[in-house]
Amino acid sequence: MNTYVFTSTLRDMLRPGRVAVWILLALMLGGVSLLWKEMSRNPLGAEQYGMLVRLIVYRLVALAAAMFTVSVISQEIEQKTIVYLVTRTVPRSVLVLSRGLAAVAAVTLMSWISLAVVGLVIIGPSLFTQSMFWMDMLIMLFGAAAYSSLFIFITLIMNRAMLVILMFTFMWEAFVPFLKGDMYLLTVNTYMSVLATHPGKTEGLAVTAMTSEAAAVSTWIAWVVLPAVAVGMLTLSGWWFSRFQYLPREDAE
Amino acid sequence: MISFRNCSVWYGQVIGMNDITVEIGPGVTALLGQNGAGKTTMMRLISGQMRPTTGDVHVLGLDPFANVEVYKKLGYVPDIDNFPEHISGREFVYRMARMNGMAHPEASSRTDYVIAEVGMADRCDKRLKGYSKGMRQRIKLAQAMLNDPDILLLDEPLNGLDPVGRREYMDYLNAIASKGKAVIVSSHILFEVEQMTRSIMLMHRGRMLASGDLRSIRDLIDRHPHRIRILTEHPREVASKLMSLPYVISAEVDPSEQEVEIRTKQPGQFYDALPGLVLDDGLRVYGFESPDNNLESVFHYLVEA
Repeated sequence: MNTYVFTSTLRDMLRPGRVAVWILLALMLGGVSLLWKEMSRNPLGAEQYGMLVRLIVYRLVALAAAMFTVSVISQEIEQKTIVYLVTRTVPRSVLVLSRGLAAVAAVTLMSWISLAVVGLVIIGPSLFTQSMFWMDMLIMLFGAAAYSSLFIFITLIMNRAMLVILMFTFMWEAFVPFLKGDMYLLTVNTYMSVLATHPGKTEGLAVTAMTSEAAAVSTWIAWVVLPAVAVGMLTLSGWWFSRFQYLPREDAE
Repeated sequence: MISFRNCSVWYGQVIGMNDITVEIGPGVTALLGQNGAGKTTMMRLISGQMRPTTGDVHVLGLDPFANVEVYKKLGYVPDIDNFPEHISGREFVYRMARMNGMAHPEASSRTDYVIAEVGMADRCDKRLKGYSKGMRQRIKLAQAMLNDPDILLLDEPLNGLDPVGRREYMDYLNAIASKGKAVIVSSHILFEVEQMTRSIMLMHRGRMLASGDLRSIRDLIDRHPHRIRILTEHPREVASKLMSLPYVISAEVDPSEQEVEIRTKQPGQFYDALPGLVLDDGLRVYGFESPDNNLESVFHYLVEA
């Protein structure tokens, strides 16, 4: 990995204008949580926190990955600045790896902010003493890595990949787990939910469409699958980017 | 330094470069052609951004595609004017230096040096968003000079520069070439490259029409009659005077009665004689231009030939 490429890309991704959008989104989530808390007859606790995290915050990881991974290569092609990246002495595979890891870091950071806001609203400051919160942080890191690396590869093999990525995020990840059979195994969210250690998770899993088959995925498989997807997809992206030509898009102005 | 052997590039069913074999050595070489001639394709092949569909390209004996060893010795000024607009020119050049493998102190000092070299020292701390085309051209040159390259590729580098800026830019390129480096400049403006070099490669629709010394190509052009339009208040009087010159083939007065178009096979001699005619015979001439003195007519002539 090239440290300079990583840090400069991360700095670009975390520009105030971009971060502000995610802070706003996190605050909106906090607002929804607050509304739920206010309208609930019984006090909310860890169970409700877990449900909200699996239902919304985990999905936010995918959305953040969709937004940030576009900056890795695809946006450079659209803006025609790709030419400055590919004519440097940084090998292309290292370039993708370094920029990809920067995207993972940015996605993780933005997701953590949302998680913390939701947790603080529902559970309060004691959130930081609860192991499930720290486990969620770790799961979201793995989820961010899996989503980001997968999306980076999609942006490398497709022109204007954003549409496909958004369809994956909002349709595939949302609806495939409802389908009968083993299709749910092909969603990242399944593995993230399996790893979650929220109380009353079984019920929660059913709610988030992890049908009874979800139990068939053991936690150790989930721990293996998420990093494997991340490593596999980043490696593949590095190879792909080194092998094929990437030119500024001529029709982009 | 650079060699193309039977190189062709296809964009789907459109040919971008058609069976080109050429060698490029040190000094300034101009790549001349209209838009769509294949100049940028050639630049992209040399800079390793793309591979030829058939044939081979070698830069310093290496396959340039995604080759870090080539990039250590190559500087590239692309034709695009796009930058990460939110950063300053200095920051952009510094980033490029770091991505060329320089550590912070070296990148910093090298950035300052190249920015001063291209005459941007007093303006480089503004955001790129507010840069004029000329300023962008200078920043592009600065980032290409960071590694003191042996080969410098410039795709349409003079676009947007004012006359003084052009002159400075051309002098700078000539100074680089005088150090034994290869400078390849693409342009679609003939007179522009004439001031820079005598060594040209003429491309048209992906094919190499001619390459070599500009004089030989000029001679080819001069062998067919040149049209020269002269703006004057008295076109008939001027036409009759000019017809007395042995190298003027014909003269035609425009219906507007404000210009006369002559045809000559020796435009050089005509241009030499014109000031004398104006001064000695008191001809009132407001201006003149040659519609043939452009690339389009050159291509037309060479393609027909």
